Amino acid sequence: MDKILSVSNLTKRFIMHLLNEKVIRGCSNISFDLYKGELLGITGPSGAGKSCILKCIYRTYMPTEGKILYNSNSEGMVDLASAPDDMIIELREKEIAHVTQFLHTIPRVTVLNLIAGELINKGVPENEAMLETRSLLAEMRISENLWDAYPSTLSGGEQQRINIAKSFISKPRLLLLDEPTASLDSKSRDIVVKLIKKLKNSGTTIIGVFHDIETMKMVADKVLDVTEKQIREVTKELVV
Amino acid sequence: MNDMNDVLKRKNRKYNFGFIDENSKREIRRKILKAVAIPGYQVPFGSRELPIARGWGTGGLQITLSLIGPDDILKVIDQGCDFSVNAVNLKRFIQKTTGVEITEDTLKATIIQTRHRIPEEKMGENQILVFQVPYPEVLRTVEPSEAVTREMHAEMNYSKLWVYLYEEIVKWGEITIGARYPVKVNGRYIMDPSPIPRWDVPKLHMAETLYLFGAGREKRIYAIPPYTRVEPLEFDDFKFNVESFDGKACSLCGSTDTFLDEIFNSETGQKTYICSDTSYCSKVSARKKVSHE
Amino acid sequence: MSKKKILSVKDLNLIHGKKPCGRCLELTGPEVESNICPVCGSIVACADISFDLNEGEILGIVGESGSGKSTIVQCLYFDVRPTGGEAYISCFEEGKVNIFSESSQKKRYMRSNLMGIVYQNPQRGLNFDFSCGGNIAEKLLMAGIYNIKKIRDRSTELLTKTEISTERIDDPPGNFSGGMQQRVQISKALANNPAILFLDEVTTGLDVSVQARVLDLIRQLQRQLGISMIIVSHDLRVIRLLAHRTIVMKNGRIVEMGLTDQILEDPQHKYSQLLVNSML
Repeated sequence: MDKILSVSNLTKRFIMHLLNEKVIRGCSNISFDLYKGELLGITGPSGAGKSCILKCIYRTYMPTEGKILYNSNSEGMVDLASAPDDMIIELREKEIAHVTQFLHTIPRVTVLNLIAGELINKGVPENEAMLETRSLLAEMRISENLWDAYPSTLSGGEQQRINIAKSFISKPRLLLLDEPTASLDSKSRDIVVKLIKKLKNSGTTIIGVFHDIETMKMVADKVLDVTEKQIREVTKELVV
Repeated sequence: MNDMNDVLKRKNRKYNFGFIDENSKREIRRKILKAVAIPGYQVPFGSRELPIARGWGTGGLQITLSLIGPDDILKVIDQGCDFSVNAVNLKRFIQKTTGVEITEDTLKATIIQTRHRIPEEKMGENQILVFQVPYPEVLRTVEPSEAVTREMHAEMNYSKLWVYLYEEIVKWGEITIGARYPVKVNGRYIMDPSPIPRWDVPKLHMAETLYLFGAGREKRIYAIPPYTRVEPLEFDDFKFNVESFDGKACSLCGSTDTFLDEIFNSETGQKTYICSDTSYCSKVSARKKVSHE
Repeated sequence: MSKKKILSVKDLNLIHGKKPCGRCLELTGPEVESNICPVCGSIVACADISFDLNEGEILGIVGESGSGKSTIVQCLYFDVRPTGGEAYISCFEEGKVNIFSESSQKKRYMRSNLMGIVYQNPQRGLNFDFSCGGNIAEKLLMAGIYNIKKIRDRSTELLTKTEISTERIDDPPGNFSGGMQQRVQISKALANNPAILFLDEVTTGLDVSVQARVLDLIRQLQRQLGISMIIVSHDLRVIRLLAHRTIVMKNGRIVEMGLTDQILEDPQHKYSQLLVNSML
């Protein structure tokens, strides 16, 4: 199997220049390997730096130490920890997606246009993009009368699902999920879980932080415990 | 020896030949040469005091006086007419200070000074046409600052003038400029051809005659040398056109191919037309008379 | 894979002062929190500015007033002449000629054919003596399009794109609201399909709903036309929504440059941290 990601000794510290150079620990000495089509769940108490790992990989955070070797489609092996900004931009456009709990969008862009825009950006013809978007929104059971609404007018759960749709539509190669099901009811959660599985089966490699173990057990192939710094295979007995 | 003779001759005359002193003439000639060398470019010159107020043709007059020699034959017209007060005054002044022969015949003259018209008869290589110019700066309508217009000319930045023409078309469906229609000279400078009617603009293009333009008040000289490209500004889909006198003829000579002035009779309410170029009109009339007889 | 550079700026600086003492650059900057040279009193508007702009990229420049962010754009659009530095545009002379050393005719060519600008103050970008359509026409005429129908068609297309009623094409911009004037400016700037668009505080002074429409428009244009843009703003929210990468400026210098989300969530420099923490 193809190794997609190899993280070694990833450490992030924040230096707060305004607070007398206070150092805040983000995550430290994280190492793991990930193969094509695998889903790694990250667990650990809050504040342990679960999201921090995702953000370092996405380069929203500048890693302080360590390597994030990513086997990219177009560039070969890239160290995401030190790759130039424009390469990161390119990878974000083509291969790597990050779903956060917050949806930042330009006001006055409809749900349909927001999601289809992701495809159009990649050169998919507009009508084709619209078609694909419609079918995904239908699959996610997002009510049709919301399609032409502005995301800012939607509820938290709806926004969350829009956010997921926005990342899923372009079938990224590496997907970083930060509590994608946090504000969803169980029905919506099941739909999202189904989608995650589908994406995984189509070859997407995924790293996810989940707020509940239940969901994680449904989708994860292995689990990284941030406090133990160990990778475990997911088994029925997994408990935290 | 010649110099000596000149001095002696001068002593007997009240004014220098052509009124203006020789040094000033030389300066004006140098500026004319520069103007000829850079077609359409406005050359600043030290406009001299004359016994005629500025604004009454002193720019053209200074060019004429600087170029004229004892053997020249002069014609002066004002809007095509040889006998209007302004033309007559200028003519008398030049004759008094030079003693040159005066004519009304376009083809006989070596220098013609004109205000607002180009004669109907085609002029040749041995003639010079001197225009009196009230406003030499073609860009003044769109830009008040002289410093800025000079920069615009230097950089060939004529977009503002073009926008002006665009807005004319948008507002009125055509370009309403009657006289002073802007022209591009030799593919470089855009120039004010003085207030000649649109009718005369095509005559500027590839002409055999040297055209000189003098603005006394604004202190500028510019030129169109013979055989120079002169193109009126126009759009692909809104072409330049001349005034139409379709179905009209001169009531005096019967010409149908000249620029006509409209005469309105307030008593009868009738409109009649006569040639703006009076000497041409009488020439045609005389020719017809002869052929009749 | 990495994208083509459209603009490359190297060591750009602009020092205002009759006689810079030669030590102005070492004696000013964010470390001493001043851009006024203590020896000769010269003002270092910007210095040591180097960056690249890629095709289709939106680059944000943030910083407080007087930090030199607008100066960069003004230098690149030839509104002011820099005292030093170089810049290269890939679609001008194959990117081999320093655009600052070109003749004013060539600069005018670049301005009218390769660049567009939208100023904070519409009075600066628009001619209020001309109609709104006339303003757009000016850009097209500059590029040598002397065809009224083509000009009208293109203006109508641009006004539609910027959501201005085409019935108002012949109205003077003075009759328009601030947001509309801004959109007319954008139409004008886009008239010749510029390779690079400069946006200088375009949403400042507009009310929130109008701001949203202008932002949406900019994003759409970038998406549809793939124009590279430099957006100068002191509003981090505008930068967050639009810019791929962001430059943080202080006292005429670049203190940090990075991915926009990284600048906002993990600012490295002390001043960037202050800026981000001051965000509402």
